[in-house]
Amino acid sequence: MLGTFRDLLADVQGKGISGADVDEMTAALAAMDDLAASMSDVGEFSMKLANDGYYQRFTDAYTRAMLAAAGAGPSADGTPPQIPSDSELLAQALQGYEGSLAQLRQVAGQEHSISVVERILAIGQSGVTYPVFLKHVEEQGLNEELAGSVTPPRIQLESDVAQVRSTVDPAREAQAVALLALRDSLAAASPSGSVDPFSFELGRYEIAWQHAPAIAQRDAVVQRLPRLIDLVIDWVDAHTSWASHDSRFIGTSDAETRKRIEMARECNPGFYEVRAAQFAAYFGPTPWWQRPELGEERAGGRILWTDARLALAVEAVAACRPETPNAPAELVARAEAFGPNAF
Amino acid sequence: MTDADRLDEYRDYYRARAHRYATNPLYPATAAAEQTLAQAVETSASMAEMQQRIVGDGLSLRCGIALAQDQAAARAALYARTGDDVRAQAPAEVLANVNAVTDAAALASLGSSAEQRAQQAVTVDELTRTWTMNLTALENIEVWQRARVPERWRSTLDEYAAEGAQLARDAWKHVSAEAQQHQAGWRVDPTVARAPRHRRLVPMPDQPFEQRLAEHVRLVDGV
Repeated sequence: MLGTFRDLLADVQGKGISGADVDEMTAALAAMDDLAASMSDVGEFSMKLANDGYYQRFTDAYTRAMLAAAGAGPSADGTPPQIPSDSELLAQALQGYEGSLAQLRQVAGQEHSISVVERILAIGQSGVTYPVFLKHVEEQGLNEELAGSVTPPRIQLESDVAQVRSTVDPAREAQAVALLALRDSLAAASPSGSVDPFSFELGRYEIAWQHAPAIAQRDAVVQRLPRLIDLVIDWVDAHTSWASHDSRFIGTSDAETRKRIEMARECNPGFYEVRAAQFAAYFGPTPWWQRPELGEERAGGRILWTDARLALAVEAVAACRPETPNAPAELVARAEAFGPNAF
Repeated sequence: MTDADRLDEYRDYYRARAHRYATNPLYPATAAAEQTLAQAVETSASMAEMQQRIVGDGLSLRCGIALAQDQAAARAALYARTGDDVRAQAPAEVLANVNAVTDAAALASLGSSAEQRAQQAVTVDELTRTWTMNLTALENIEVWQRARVPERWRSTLDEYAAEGAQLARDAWKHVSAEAQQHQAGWRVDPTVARAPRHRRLVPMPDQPFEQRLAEHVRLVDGV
């Protein structure tokens, strides 16, 4: 877990950087090692590192050391900054990008970031000076492009829309469509056509915030729909001649199977009454069979009951009452035709 | 390359930077600071003067500070729109302290430490909604306890309800233990659970919401 910190420290020392900031990095890493030795739970260790400022102490010292080395500020021991030459700055920058490229190539799915770093390196290695290199990277918006983890490529957002559309989940589809539109609008407003990562980050947060209630509402409805449907269908089916051969009712013994069938016949109307009241209290008076989520869940393959089965269930709702637990014969006769273990 | 040519190339670069921020309304302070920087480079007579003005006069740092201000102001405005009081702590801390920053390392540290502190607060705040994990158990228990069924099933259903309650209590002990790693003594605060940022994500009217929240508290307290 501390490998990244060891690598950073080794990298700093390998560049010949020393001083109070590097000493502080070493001390912070030693403190993390001591903590690791005193704890056995990895999750708890990780949380303690984050919450108690260990990461912060190390990364602050690392930032100071690197900034001082780059000439952007004084080091912790007061050494005045030195401005490297353009060729040194370009070499440092290219070395950093080459290091990033090597790391990116070891991670799957980083093709976009790899292509951007390759473009940056191609500019830097084309013989231009450091300020011309910086200007081209700036004008082509490559630093924004590189923030691929914040700003996904358009093709990925299009793919997200297609994927969520295929699952027939309108609430999440609306969110995915809004994200794609956000990216397009930011790209259209940018002189380089690249997307400002910070603008996208804010926009993405706001879109997620806007769509979260609708997603939560839909999830809550679709979580409860199957229970209502199953209670009614199981109730009717428990009256059929094939009930004891259906996996919903088969128990570890004949007695257990009988008990399950009898419980479905006698208790499901009472269960349904309470569940339907809960559903109405949460989501309003529209009955479950008139909710749009039902069609969506069926189209998405998450509710597998056939049209005939569902039609029978809807008709059976009126009769599924605790006062009259026996299912009407006409409904049972129709259920007989379905047979056991079938949707 | 002559000093003048090199200076010209830097002028081009700083003009490009200033142009980028000038075209994005999210960065008013940064656009002004970058414009000042670009102007300073424009009027520098030598590379040495340019370096002195960028670093020595702190213009580069002023750009960093302006960027931190713009980003914090944008986040603060966003969290004000979304009513996210806890997340708003980080940009508020940056805005309160950024003008006192005197070097780049302190600027980097201000942003990251403010973010870290706020993130801890957000993590604890987000734990509030874990109570909704018990909604399914509470609904099941209600079904078993309240369903109108023949008397011969009553004891069976009472057993189901008692087992369901015990399972939910046992599961909650794990949630609570996990949460207490983030904050000692953590428990769901019903007042925080009613805060709009949490309430809007529990899709039900107030009456059933209050009923379930009270049931959750009774369940986990073993009442």
